[in-house]
Amino acid sequence: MSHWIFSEEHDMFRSSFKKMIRNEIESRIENWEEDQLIPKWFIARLSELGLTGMTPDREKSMDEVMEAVLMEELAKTGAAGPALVLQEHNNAVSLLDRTNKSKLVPDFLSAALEGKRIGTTVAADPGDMTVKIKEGFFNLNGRLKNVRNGGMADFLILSFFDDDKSGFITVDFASEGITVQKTENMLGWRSSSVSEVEFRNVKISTENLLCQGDEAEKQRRLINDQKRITWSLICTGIAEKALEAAVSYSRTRQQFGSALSEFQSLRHKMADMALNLEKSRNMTYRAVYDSIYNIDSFQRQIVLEEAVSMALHVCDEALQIHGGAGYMMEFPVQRFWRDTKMFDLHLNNIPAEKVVMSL
Amino acid sequence: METVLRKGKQPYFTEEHDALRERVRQFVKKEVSPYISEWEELGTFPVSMFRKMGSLGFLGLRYPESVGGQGGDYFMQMVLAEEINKCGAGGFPMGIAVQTDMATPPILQFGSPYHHEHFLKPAIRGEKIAAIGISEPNTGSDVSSIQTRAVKQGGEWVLNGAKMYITNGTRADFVTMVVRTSDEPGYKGISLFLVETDTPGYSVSRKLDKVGMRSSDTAELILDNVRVPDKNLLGVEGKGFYQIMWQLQGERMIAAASAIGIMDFCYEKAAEAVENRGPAYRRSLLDIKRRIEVCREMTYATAFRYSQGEVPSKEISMIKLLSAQTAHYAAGQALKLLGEEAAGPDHPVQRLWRDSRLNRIGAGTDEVMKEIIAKEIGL
Ligand SMILES: Cc1cc2nc3c(=O)[nH]c(=O)nc-3n(C[C@H](O)[C@H](O)[C@H](O)COP(=O)(O)OP(=O)(O)OC[C@H]3O[C@@H](n4cnc5c(N)ncnc54)[C@H](O)[C@@H]3O)c2cc1C
Repeated sequence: MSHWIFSEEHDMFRSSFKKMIRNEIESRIENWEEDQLIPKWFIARLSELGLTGMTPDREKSMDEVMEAVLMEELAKTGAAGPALVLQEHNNAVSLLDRTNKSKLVPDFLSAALEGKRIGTTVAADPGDMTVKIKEGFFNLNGRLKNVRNGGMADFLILSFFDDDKSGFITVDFASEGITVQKTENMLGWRSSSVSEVEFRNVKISTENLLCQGDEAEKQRRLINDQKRITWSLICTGIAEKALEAAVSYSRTRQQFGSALSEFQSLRHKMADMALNLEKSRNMTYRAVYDSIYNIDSFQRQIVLEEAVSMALHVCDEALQIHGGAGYMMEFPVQRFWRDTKMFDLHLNNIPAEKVVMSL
Repeated sequence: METVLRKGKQPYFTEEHDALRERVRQFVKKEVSPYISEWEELGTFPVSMFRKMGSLGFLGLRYPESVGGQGGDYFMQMVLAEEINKCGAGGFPMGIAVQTDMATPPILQFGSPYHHEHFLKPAIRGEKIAAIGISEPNTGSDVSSIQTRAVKQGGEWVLNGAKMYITNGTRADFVTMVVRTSDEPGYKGISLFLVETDTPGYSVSRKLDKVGMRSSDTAELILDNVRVPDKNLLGVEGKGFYQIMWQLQGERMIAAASAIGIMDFCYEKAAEAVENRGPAYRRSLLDIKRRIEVCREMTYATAFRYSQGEVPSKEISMIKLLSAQTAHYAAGQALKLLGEEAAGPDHPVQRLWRDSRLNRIGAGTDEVMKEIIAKEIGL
């Protein structure tokens, strides 16, 4: 029996999804990392199989637990990229769905649900970007850094603060005045095709406004809460992969006349890694379960902090156990290690809600 | 023992050290930092850097004048290592440290006049590039199990085998190499050779693609019936294991000094950026600073003993271990404080986080250091 939050149906889904990943994704991950881009068919294919979370027929949409299985298994491709790309797309889709502006349904929501168009969500930094309302238009100038999916997305849901206004607008990447430049060779998350987007006098119809004010604030919180769970799951998946790599390398590499796996200090190291992974996994699964019934940002933040710190530890030790080989690009453990550090760098970036601030 | 410590505010460094520090700083600022991103991309740094540093005397700071060195003390070497490690990457300084502190000290210590003339002097002038060849595909931590074999034939030795992860390996002129010269198992049958890389049968089988230290080139070497003259045997036949264990102490000392440069650099970058963001940030900075200062004091105190001719292997192993962990920790925490912005390709702190990870593997892993410490405390 797996963890209690999973029903038999979830377990069956996990094993069939694993197969799909093995057949269609795993062998490509090295190329995607090298290209620093995941091809669009990735989202299209998941949509076709009804595996993005939400589906055109809402009755068939996944429950929270199913989505958790999806993200965790995607992370076990050994890179954060695919799961992050899907998460950003899903955030865009669910925002469109929750705010439900009928004008935006055909070109954005429906197309995205079918996987024909890909979305992403970004918060504008007021220092880098201005969003002004003029005669029925939003006028956008400036730039957005670190836009995930930048290299593949067709549209962007922009969270902005300006002139005492705040809200979300939908921006088509095909709009005049937008240029997208990929940021190559980031520390990690390479396949998520992080980009810089520049806006020069871009005009976006006010009909593209999804929500503003308090409603926008609420949506921001929902997105951040979703992010906390998804990132915890990704850390769990990558750490599991790292532990597997360490165990298997230690069994084959010989030094001082025996396999590394025979050295007690390394056995204890790996036992600690396994324990740490299990601690974090239990917290993460519990947060997934709770998310069906309520939102508790504080609890989710705790779970995320635990998951990131666990993944840093596990991936670092896994690299160490590989010795010099761990430092070589040909061994994937270096990527597990880089990708998890990226979560650590972003921890401060998830806007701390009052509940966290009150600590 | 006569103390040469300077009384007053700074016990380890004299005004000459301070002057050298300033010279190296200027050199790094003009000749290294502006190009380091380019070299990282290139996967190596220009050969001309050896010449430049040689002509400035930087490659022989603590070597006697009789072999073309500057005749300085060990703290001169420490100053160089610290300062070049503030160039914004670990790779270039590592290539230099191999030249000055890993491949050449055994030549001075165990070498013949011919070795001094033909290898050491040109290396100090920066005319010959040196590498150190210990590790092999099947042997890293367990040095006594190396398999590369030399068989004597007349006045020559015929070498066969492979060396792995060799820094400066793609363009070295010679390699200070650890080789097995008899069938005796373990450490007994090991000797050192100075192998010239233009000898037939010597080849670089591949340049390795690494996650960090990218401005330093790393190679796998193949030795296929490489004929080395007997006069290239370094030191005493069969004593190579002791000689290389002696060499490793110096390698670890300099690794610690280098790590200090890295941690100081990362701390400064973080402090510049977040010092004014409030008490929580200052608290984090203090945590990094505290660890750096502990590491610095222990390293200097050990370096002082080393500079007096002592080789305290327990303390050296301790500072190697501590400095590697502290440098990587400091880089990681600095990176976290700097946040997403610092993840970009040319940001020196994310680079140093990757680069400093090697300190916990190269020159003996963390685990190997702990094994030595355990033995030294009587276990
Ligand atoms: C970028 C780079 C540059 C390098 N430059 C050079 C160079 O110029 N010259 C050179 O000779 N070498 C060089 N090296 C090699 C380096 O010294 C070795 O990688 C290092 O000694 C570890 O050996 P290994 O990689 O074979 O790991 P292994 O020895 O296989 O060790 C793998 C893991 O097992 C652990 N382990 C091993 N034995 C034990 C034990 N008894 N108990 C507990 N744990 C144990 C290790 O700590 C490590 O975590 C370089 C390596 C790199 C990555």
